[in-house]
Amino acid sequence: MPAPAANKRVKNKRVSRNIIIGSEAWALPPVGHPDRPKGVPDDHTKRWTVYVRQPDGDPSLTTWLNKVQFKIFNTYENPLRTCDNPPFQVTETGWGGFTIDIRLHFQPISGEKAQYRQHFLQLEKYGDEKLQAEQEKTGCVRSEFLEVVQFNEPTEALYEALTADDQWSYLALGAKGGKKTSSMSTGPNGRPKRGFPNGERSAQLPEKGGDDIPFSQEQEAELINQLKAKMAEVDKALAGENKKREETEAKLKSLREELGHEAAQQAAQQASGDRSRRR
Amino acid sequence: MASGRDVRDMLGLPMGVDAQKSAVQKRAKAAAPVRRIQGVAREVAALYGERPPPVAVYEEKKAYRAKRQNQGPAKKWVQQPFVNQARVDGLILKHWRRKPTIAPPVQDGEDAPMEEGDNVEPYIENSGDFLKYSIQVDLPTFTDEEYDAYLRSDDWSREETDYLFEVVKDYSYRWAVIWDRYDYQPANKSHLTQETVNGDASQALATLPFAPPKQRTVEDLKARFYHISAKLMKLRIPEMQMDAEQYTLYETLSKFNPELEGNRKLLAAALMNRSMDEVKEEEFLLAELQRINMAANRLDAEREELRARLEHPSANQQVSAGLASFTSSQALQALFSQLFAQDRSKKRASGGATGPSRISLNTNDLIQTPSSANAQLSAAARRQSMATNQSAQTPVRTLSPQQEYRYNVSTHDRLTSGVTFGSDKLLKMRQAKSNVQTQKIAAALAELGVSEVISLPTIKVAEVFEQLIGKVGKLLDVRKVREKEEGESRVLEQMKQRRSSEVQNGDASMSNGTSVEPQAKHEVPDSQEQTPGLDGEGEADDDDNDNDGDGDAHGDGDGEVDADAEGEEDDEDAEGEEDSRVPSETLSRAASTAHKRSASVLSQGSIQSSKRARK
Repeated sequence: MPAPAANKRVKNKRVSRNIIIGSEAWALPPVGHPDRPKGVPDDHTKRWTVYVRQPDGDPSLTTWLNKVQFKIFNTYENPLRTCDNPPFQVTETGWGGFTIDIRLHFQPISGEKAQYRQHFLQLEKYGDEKLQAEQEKTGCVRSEFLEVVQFNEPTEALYEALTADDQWSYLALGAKGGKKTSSMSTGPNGRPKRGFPNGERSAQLPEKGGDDIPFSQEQEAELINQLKAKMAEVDKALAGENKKREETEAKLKSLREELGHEAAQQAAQQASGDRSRRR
Repeated sequence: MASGRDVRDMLGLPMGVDAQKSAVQKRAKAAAPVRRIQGVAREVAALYGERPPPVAVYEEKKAYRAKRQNQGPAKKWVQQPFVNQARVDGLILKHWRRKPTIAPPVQDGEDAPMEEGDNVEPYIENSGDFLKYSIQVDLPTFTDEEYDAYLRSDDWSREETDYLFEVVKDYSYRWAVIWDRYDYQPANKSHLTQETVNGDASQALATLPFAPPKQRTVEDLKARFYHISAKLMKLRIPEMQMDAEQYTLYETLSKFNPELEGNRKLLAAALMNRSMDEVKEEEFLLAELQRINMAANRLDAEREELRARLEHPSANQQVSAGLASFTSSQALQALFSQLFAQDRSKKRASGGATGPSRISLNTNDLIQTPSSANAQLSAAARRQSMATNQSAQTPVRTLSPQQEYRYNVSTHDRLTSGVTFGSDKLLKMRQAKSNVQTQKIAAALAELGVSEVISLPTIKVAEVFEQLIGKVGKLLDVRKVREKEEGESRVLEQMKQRRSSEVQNGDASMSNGTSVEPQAKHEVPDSQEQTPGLDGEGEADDDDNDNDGDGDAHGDGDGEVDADAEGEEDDEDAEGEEDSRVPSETLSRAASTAHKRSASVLSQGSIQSSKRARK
């Protein structure tokens, strides 16, 4: 069998991968505090990390991701930070949030050009009260977004790589070291952790959410339900609007009949004229 | 004759007794290395001759006898009763155990042996040694609800199913044993069976619950058990989330076909039970078949050859793709240059790493005879076609639906290749063709409380979101139409009111009745005051109307105060009238407010208008 070609594409297939793009920020101790790290300018109040990672137990990012470049604010020294190997993250200190350009470089076998993503570096508390309270409690402001990277018609080589079972082997490698492996590969409930042998091994979202699992199928279902509820709302509004429209239509019809064709035309002109004038 | 002695003398060797001694020594030396064969009788060993066999036979009994360990008196053994912890019934069995050495009580040394003799304390050993041999098999379990919901069967009662599970558990999935011991007796029917056996309607009664137990085959038992296992497995883990191992297990469970299995066993048995004659016959038939096949092949080949000879020219043309057109040297040259160019471009593309096989051409090839060139050419073409074939056949890994789900692979009809992001898709949906519409959609979504960034931009979410956006779009469209119609009807209503008021005004001025006039006047400003609120026309219009309303109110007051119709009062009245008509007549002509004002100020206009009204 010849090696999978890098220039031939697998037709009509799409391989999707979930990644998490996010940032975390902690407050630095005030100036003069013994814990304050040295060499940090006095006006910096936060330490932050911006990262690109896979959800826990997902197939390895590096199967398709070659390197990541973070374009941080240009007053930083060397504002274009490049990460060739995981973890793809940049840690810095600062005092203000800004938008970070994240450039994803794909593996050469994919034959794809690099793509930009943007992430706003959230340093201050945000969100609803509950979220803010938690951020207050932990002292860490995390702002994460799930992104779905879709490889449409991937090259054969990439397809092969993305459907191989060794995409999870990075977990086993990382957990080398005797006793630790068992504790690492099983979760608190004694079941094998996601991604480890005998555990759930899938590139889909994790089935169940948890404290340390920010994105899961449960949440997805919840979100879908929310959207469906909104849809029902819209439906209701639509029905009401339709009813109103019918009423006005009937009224209009009767008025037109009453006043005659000419008046109706005039009115139509006027009404549309009004609209055009307003615009 | 020289004796040995002489020879020895000549050679200067020692003689006499010494010589004999040395001979004896020599013999002994020669004999020493010959290993004595152990454990074999001397006579037998002699039979081996010079060379002993490579594998020596030893009698073990003689060769390795362990030394007797004589340490004290013989140990005592007793038949020790014990409780096997692996058993639940607490049955006490006995086994031989070395008698435990009980330290004799120190104070009454003499009584001790006596006591030991008669008080055979029923010490019962509680042995956990056998626990490890008691292996419980994993069995799927089900609740009553699950049974009722999913596992019911016409052929199997609940009791029999339970019995089956019990037996499977007892005999740990050893199906042959299970089948052998399987003897299900329905609990409530034993007294009834005798009666039914006598009855001639046993056929009809066979279906009733008290029918005699069915004869179940191994396949029946397996089928039932596997069916339930598969169902339960699917209930516990959804099909899509099983890992590879679980899924293969699930597949084997769910694909068990008792008939096929039965047939297979039947055939295997039949194969086993063939007689020698049958075996021979089969072999003979097979050989015959092979012979016939070979003959047929040969015949076919011969015929093919014959046909090829008969239809030589056309066949040739077909095979080598119109080589006939390259018979002239000119055409050949053209072909060569074409191939040469092709070759070069290919080389460039593949970086020159074409391997050892020579498919490239060089100028020397041109000098060769046309026939050899042709041969090479066709060979090259064949190779090329083979290469393309191969690449076309490159097997793209085929995945089962379950695997596709695991690797998040999906199939779509139309795809533009490249990388896309889920959130981009969601963003795109928010955008309509026009900027205004986009803003409207955003406003509507904000009103609904849909956040600007959807945190999980998966495909499923995108689908639902698309529906939502579609509905919002529809809502906006309907709203737009309704607003338009409302505006139109409002204008028409105004017209109607104006007409009716005009008619009333006309009546009032005709009758010159003083009591009616204020009422009619009152109506006019009312309708005008309503208009700005209602139709929300242009701001200029609004202002205008407001002013007019004010003026009218003023005029109204005047009218009420001076009951008599004076010139001035007339003017005011006219203004009111004029204004009431202005929207219907002059607005459509886009008359400026200044014009209206001037018209209302001029008494002439007012007179004209009042005249018109009277008509």
